[in-house]
Amino acid sequence: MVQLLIALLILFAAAGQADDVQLNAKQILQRMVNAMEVSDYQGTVVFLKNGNLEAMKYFHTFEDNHGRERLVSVNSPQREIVRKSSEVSCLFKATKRRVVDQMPYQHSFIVDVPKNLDNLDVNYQFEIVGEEDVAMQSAYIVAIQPKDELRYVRKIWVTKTHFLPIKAAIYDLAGEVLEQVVFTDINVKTIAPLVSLANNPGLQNSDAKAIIPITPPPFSMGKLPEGFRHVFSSREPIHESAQPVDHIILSDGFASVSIYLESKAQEPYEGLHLPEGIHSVGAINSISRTLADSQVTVLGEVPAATVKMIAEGIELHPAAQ
Amino acid sequence: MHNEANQKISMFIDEELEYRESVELLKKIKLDDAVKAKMRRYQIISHVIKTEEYIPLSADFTDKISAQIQQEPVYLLPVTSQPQSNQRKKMYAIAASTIAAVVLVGKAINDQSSTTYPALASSSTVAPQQLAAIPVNKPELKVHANNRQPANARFNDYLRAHNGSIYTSGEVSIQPYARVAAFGKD
Repeated sequence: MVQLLIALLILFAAAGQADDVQLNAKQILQRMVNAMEVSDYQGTVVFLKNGNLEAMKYFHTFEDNHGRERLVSVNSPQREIVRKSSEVSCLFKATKRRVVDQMPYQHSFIVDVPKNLDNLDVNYQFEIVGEEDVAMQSAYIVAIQPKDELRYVRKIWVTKTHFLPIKAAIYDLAGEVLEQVVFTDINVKTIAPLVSLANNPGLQNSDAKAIIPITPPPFSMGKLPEGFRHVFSSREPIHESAQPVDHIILSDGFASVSIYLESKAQEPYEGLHLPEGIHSVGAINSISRTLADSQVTVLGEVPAATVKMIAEGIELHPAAQ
Repeated sequence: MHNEANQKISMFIDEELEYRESVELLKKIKLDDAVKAKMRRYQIISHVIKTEEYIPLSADFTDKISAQIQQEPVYLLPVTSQPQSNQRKKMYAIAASTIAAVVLVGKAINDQSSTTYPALASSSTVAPQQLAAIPVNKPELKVHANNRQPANARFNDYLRAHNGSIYTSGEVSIQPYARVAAFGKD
């Protein structure tokens, strides 16, 4: 009887191992997308962006069929960021001010991976490139390698136990790390209650502007890089002034690019618009150019050649000139 | 003695020298060309260490700036507080004009280096010949009290609207839609 039990245990263990071996990179990512949404977990996460390290406490819960994230800064400036579905609230504790934003596209502060990866085969290949322990968690290293030079390489470390992303990095085409997010500790199914920022009477809230969808955009886009498609449009004030800005988001599933168009003639004073040319901050590249009396800016976590290609294809509709 | 003087110049550049000693040093700079030259060398070294870039300027650049300041008209404005001693005023004037010259030199170097920023570090392998025709700027996300702030604020607005990643950046200078004018000073 004991021998039968041992044999069964060995069989189950082998089956589990076989299951691990059979998982390919896309399956691991698909499990990760699901686990990120429905798991309750928390930890300390470090963001390395633009040469700066920022450590934050991270909490994720699944409530009312929606994932919620909360980030609390460890260092100054003290702030607490809560994402509930597409709404992001950021509370600055020193000034007791709250910023409310609608994020129509991004779904997580840690890493964004689309649910359906099959559509991305044209532009990316997925590969398990190794295994590594991160924050005392054994993890698969999944590389998302672009098939052209118009997007960046990504790697995601996915824990073997809970299929949660414990580390993610974006690399430039030379293999240098541009941005990195890494948990230094993570606890699953141990969660602090989310604190609602909305009902705190001491806060001075900013106005959350309603996003007004616009179709079609007031400009045409030329040939887009392979795989990029239009996923969102809006016309909303995003600056201090009430001047509306047309905002288009393109995405290839992993990388997203924003196009902003706004009138230079309505600027309250000179010097507000961005200088012409390419700007580079970490993984973000942007390019600004003038079309008639408007400025168009293309910005995204893609190589400079990509924003340049998109920007050069943009033409204002005659009515917008 | 030399080491002490060098240390004072270094501390002055790092804004760590006390007020009285700063004034003494500024007096020496005004009177002694050797000290002035040393000050300039330290300023250049400090700039190169911080930015890894150096653009040479003529040695009399600061003198020209000082001369321009001297030629500025004097505005006689009503005095709203008790006047300080003439000696103290002179010290302030010397300090202000010298610091202005130093700042202008630094700014001139910064401006030249930013407009001639040679290549995109993050995309150096992407067909550089295609990008050669486009001027490259390197925006700073930190809030600075200069005339580039509005453009940087606009860049931050774009980043914020693009995704929420700016919230997790260590260089947070986010301002709400209903913006508070004094927020950046908080």
